[in-house]
Amino acid sequence: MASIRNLPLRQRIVVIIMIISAAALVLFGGVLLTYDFLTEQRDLVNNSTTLANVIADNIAAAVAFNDPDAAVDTLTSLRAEPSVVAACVYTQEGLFAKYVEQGQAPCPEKAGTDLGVGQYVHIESPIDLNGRQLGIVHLRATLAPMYARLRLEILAIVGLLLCSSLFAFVLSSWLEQFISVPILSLARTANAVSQKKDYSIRAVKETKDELGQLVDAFNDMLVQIEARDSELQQRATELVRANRTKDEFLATLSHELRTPLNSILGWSILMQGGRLTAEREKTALQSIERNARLQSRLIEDLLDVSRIITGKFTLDSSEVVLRPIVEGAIEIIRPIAESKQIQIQCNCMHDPVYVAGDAPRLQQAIWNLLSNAVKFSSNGGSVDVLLDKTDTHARVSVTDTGIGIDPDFLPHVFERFTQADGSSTRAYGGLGLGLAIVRHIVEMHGGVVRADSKGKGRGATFTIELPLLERPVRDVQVRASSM
Amino acid sequence: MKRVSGVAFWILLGLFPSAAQDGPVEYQVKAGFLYNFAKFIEWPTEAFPAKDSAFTICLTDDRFQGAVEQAVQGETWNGRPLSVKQIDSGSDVRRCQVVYISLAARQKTMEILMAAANAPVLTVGETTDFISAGGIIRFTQSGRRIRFEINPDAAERASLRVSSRLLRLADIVRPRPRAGD
Repeated sequence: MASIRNLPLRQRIVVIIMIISAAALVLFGGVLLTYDFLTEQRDLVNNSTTLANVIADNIAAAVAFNDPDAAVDTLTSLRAEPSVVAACVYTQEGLFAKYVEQGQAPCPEKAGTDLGVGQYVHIESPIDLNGRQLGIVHLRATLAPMYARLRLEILAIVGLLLCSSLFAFVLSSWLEQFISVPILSLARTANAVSQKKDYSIRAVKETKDELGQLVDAFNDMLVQIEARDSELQQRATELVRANRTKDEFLATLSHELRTPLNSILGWSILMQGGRLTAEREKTALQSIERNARLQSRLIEDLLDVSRIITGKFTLDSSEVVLRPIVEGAIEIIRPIAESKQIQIQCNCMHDPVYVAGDAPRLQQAIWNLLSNAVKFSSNGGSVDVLLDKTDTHARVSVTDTGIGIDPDFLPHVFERFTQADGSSTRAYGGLGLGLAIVRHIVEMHGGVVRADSKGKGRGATFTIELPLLERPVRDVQVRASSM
Repeated sequence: MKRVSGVAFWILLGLFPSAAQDGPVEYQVKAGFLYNFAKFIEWPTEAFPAKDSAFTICLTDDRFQGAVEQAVQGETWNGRPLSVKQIDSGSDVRRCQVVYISLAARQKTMEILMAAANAPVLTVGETTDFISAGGIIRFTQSGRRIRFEINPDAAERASLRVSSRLLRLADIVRPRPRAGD
């Protein structure tokens, strides 16, 4: 059985079919032979019993009158019966008459002792005359012709077995394809998929049975694997990019942290030399302070990003009026803007616009937008700030006349560690964290931030929208008390 | 087959070592035959005076009485009891179903046969002219064996039906009817 298990599928099917057909035939032959054997044996016994009874009846007179010759005459009539090979008649005194075919064992001298081996059937019938037993007839019938016939039948069955095996082989060699072809085709497909790592290959469904279902299931799995494979590849690409971004960020970070430090160190050494004029010393101190603030700002941003990543960036929410926040941010950025001759105009509506939020964080977000606008604007440019509201939202937008944003890069501007390219980092400085922090703050307030640009060199607009606080409780109280 | 019958013959000799010489053994064999004849012959019902009448074997020689009585001891004939009688003359013969006329009584042969003529009586004798005298069965001697002759015509005249199995064992004798018969 183990060797069958190791055969190729097609051969296994053929072998199984042949085994089944052979087994059926052997079973059939066995039943037939057994039935024949039993029937023949029974018939022989029945016939011989009838014969023995007839002989016993016919021979009674010969026995009664002690006429063995007449008895032998009667027994000799058995010559017509080929199955009876010997007949012996016994009386009380012993063997009385006998008939034995040539080549057969003689009648034993005593009744009841002729019990030759399996080849023979022994039948005895009493010789009765008017209710008195005169003797006994013993017939010995041979099973040899039956065995000869059985041997012939066995030969025929063996021949039939060979023929039917051949027939079964030919037939099953042709029929096995109905099972094997779909399986083999599926196996080939599976092989091809696994060798070429090509998950777009599909198995062909040829039948609607379990094999068809198997093909369907296989194809479904391939679809899933293919989807997962492409997703994995995409993820891998993203991972590679994220890794590269982080490397670039690290380089940028070191550069950004070192630049103000160089300035601070340089001026400090010069001042310690003590040969600077008072005017130059003032410039030096201003430069040291500016650079220290810049570095502090960078580190603050880094800490914020870190908090965002670890989920520790929290809001201290309360009712907020937006206008003072916007104006405060403008005031903070104005010295830097003025150093680049950039004008900042605030087109802010006078009605108070209420939102629920963390005032310092909102100011940080707006300041970040302003800082970006100033940073990416050339000298003499302008920055317009707009504050208004729709029915549902407060809106703050910052528009500059700076370098603008490539449309391809627009979707990525709010991602961490991202600036349009490496060279811009060099030209404009900064870590590329500002907009990411802005988006996080705005989204934590339930708002949205978006960037628009008409293209490179044509400026950019960043817009923050925050949900309005419909009826600020404190506002109502203030009005009530003022009335 | 010759060999077989030869063997049977010698076996028979073994069974009956002196059938012809020793008187008592001869009586026994003949007594057994007398009773066995009755088993293969049918008598008409009018052979018996009554329903329960005995089947009677009549003897003319009292030396046989013992042997025949021994042979039929404990036996019945078609449900009838068996009896063995001695008769002296033909006058009693019609009461018998079987009558055996031994050699010793051969001078009574004709008388008894005449008395039994056409009656359902099985006549058994031994004289050479017993059959031609109208008897039905005659014992003969073949070497050491005792055999018998049957005249089926005589049996038919006596309204006795003899079984073919008995006829097969017997030598069939049909004497030419003598003038005046």
